[in-house]
Amino acid sequence: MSLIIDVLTGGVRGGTSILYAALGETVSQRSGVINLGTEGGMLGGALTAYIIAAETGNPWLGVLGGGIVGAALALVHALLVLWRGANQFASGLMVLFLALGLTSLFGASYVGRTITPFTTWAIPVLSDIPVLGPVLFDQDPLVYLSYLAVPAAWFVLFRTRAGLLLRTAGERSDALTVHGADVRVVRTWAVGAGGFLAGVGGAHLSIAYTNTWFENMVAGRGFIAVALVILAAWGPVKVMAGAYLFGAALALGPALQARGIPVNQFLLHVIPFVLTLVVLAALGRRSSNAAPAELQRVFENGAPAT
Amino acid sequence: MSIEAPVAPTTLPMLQVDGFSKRFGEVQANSDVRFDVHAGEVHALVGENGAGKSTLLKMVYGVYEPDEGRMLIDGEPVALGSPAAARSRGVGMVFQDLRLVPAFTVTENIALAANPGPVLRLKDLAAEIAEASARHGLAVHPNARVRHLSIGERQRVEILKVLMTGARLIILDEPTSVLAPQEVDALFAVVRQLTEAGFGIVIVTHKLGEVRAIADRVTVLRAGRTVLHGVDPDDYDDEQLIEAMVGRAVPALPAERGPVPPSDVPALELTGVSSRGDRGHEALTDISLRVQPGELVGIAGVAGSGQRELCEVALGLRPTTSGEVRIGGASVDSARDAIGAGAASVPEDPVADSVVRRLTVLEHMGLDGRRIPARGLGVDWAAVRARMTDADARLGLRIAPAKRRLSELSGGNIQRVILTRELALDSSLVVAAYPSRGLDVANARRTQEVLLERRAAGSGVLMVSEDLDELMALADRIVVMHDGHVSGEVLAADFDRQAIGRLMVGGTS
Ligand SMILES: Nc1ncnc2c1ncn2[C@@H]1O[C@H](COP(=O)(O)OP(=O)(O)OP(=O)(O)O)[C@@H](O)[C@H]1O
Ligand SMILES: [Mg+2]
Repeated sequence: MSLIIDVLTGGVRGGTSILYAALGETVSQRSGVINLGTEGGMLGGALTAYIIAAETGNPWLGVLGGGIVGAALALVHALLVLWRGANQFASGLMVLFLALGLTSLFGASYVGRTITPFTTWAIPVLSDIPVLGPVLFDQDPLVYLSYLAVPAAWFVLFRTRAGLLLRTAGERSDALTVHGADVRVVRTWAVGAGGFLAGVGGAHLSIAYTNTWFENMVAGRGFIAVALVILAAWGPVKVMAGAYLFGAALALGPALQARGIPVNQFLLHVIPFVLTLVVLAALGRRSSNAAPAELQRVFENGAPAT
Repeated sequence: MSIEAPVAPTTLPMLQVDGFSKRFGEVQANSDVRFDVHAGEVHALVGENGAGKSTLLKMVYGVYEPDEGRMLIDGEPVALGSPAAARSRGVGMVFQDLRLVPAFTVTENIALAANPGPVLRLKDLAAEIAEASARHGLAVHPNARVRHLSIGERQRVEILKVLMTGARLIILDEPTSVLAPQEVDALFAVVRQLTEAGFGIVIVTHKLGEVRAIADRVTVLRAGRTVLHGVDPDDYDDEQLIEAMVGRAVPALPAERGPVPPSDVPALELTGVSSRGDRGHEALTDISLRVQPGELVGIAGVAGSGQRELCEVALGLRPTTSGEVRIGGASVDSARDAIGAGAASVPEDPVADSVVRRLTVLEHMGLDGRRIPARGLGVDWAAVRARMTDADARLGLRIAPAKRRLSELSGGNIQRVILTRELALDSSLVVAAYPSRGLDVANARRTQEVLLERRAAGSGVLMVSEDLDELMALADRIVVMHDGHVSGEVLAADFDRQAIGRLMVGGTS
């Protein structure tokens, strides 16, 4: 029983950074832009949050800074793709390597520094509920914030005019032009907002979950987030479930080890990725039906259709 | 030739266009065009495919900037620059190629135009849509996904959308080319109601009967120029109007045609076929149908009675839930089977189903389902070009230049590319849905001749049309569909509008 609770709790905690990033990628892809640089946005967010938390002692400022850096990196992508006609895949990977290089450079002196991280804060009453209590309500503030971020993202996408325009940009850009919005402007906002969320995801990783900084610490979570968006069929609520699933896959190893059960280190590392492959293979066709139509045109380089 | 409006308008026009010119590369789409619309009138805009009608209207709606010329709304010069600006001045437009988002619901699509606030009021809007659709007789389900709607239903959504954005001047670019006759009547009833309420309506059509039925005035464009400007259609007979549009007279269809040769193997045979529609409902129920080689069978029915599904099933594009489809005796389960058995097809909505917008006319000619001529590892473009030139010469539908992209062509010109490609094939079966949709008078006539030529050459032809006159002029037999069933069948000798009309609504002849 305690193993299950540990894995689930770890799933929520470890899944939260993926959740933020995948939520951001959902926003971006819903507008018709794939951002493979999400991994880079998370790295940038993770380091920035860590530095700010270390220097100011205020983790909230760290989150804000992490989000801003994530947004800035995504805007580099948006600039290249939407305004300069670059290929979306090449540009996304370029942003990733840019972030990887910059964070290695500026992060070197912070390896091993201690910070004031976010700490878990059990919500009275709710955290006493058996199983669900410790899993959902004995967490850090960024986890609680993500409980709000998911419905908020859903609401913005599906219940506001801005969200409608954003989805139109992703479904049929010529219909958008007729309604007085500029496709590129709409997409730029979407990509920027998505990057902010990826940065917050990175911040959760460095100053709420692992509470350390080391080079390339995101370790593929950004790519898992991109895959997750597809298998969650571009829906924020499904993204949440998927993120926790991956979080649980990541938490399984440590939970087993803590109980002295020997498991192969390498096997544990590949579990989340094998899981991604299996779920993608199983859901591939179904979720591709839900794909925003304009994603089929990513090779046309984001330049709006006339 | 340019003729002035006979009477000087007494009131200020809602819209006045003075000398619009517009050039796309080498094409002068509009030159010095004049046009005006008064409150409470229907002004028809007619002309050949590529005459520049859509271009003129898109400039009025702010989609394109005119190169030259100016425009006045209520006597005030305006430079719109964007559709949003046009809407704020009370101009609304329904595009020829509808601009709905297929993945959205009807309500979401309408919200794009009619929900200015930051938060969507989807419930209220759905109620308003239901109310407006009942009031105007434009039946739509607010919560249906547009992807699942037929093209006729999508048209209704577009019209409703414009009505709900509070436009006073409503531009309808070829609204009737996708509608069944009853729907046209219903649309015209809506239009009359609107003009009585003081709206100004611009309507593009290729059908003179519709001009006479609805228009107070008509403007004729030819090759981008105003040939007749705002005249009363009653002052001109059909020949004069056609000549103004085409620059020459158009011959009538030959009335005589040979009998259907007897044959053991039907070109197309459906036995007890049922199939599901996109929404999962049963769209075809127990359809049995035969088309002999050398026979032209017409399919009549109210839009959405299963015509689309029937064509798709016949071509192996849609799985059947029961029954069997055979082309030339060979069983058909997939599009590959159908092509292999010699089927050619003109789809209901070519833009969605057989056009790759960014490819050129020449490239489309290579994609006719036959083997693409190869040269080493590459494509033998010279052979494709030869194929195209030959097809164009035989069919005479004068397709656009080989290097033009389909995204740049007018609606009728796109249709002509697809028709030329498919009808030039030496096919054993032609499945043609609304083949003359969007074509001008001369090209529609030529297309009908080509279909008869295919029939004479021994192809079985299955033709869906919303135009009963066209079906009665061409078909050896008309099969009437209602709600996914065959509700009756009429032979050429017994063609009778009333009887077919009754079958279309599910009655008996
Ligand atoms: N965006 C564009 N780019 C290039 N050429 C264009 C563009 N739009 C229209 N044209 C050309 O301008 C001419 C006029 O086209 P337009 O669409 O106005 O014709 P139309 O009268 O509406 O014809 P139809 O009856 O076939 O719809 C055509 O030769 C067309 O190919
Ligand atoms: Mg047109």
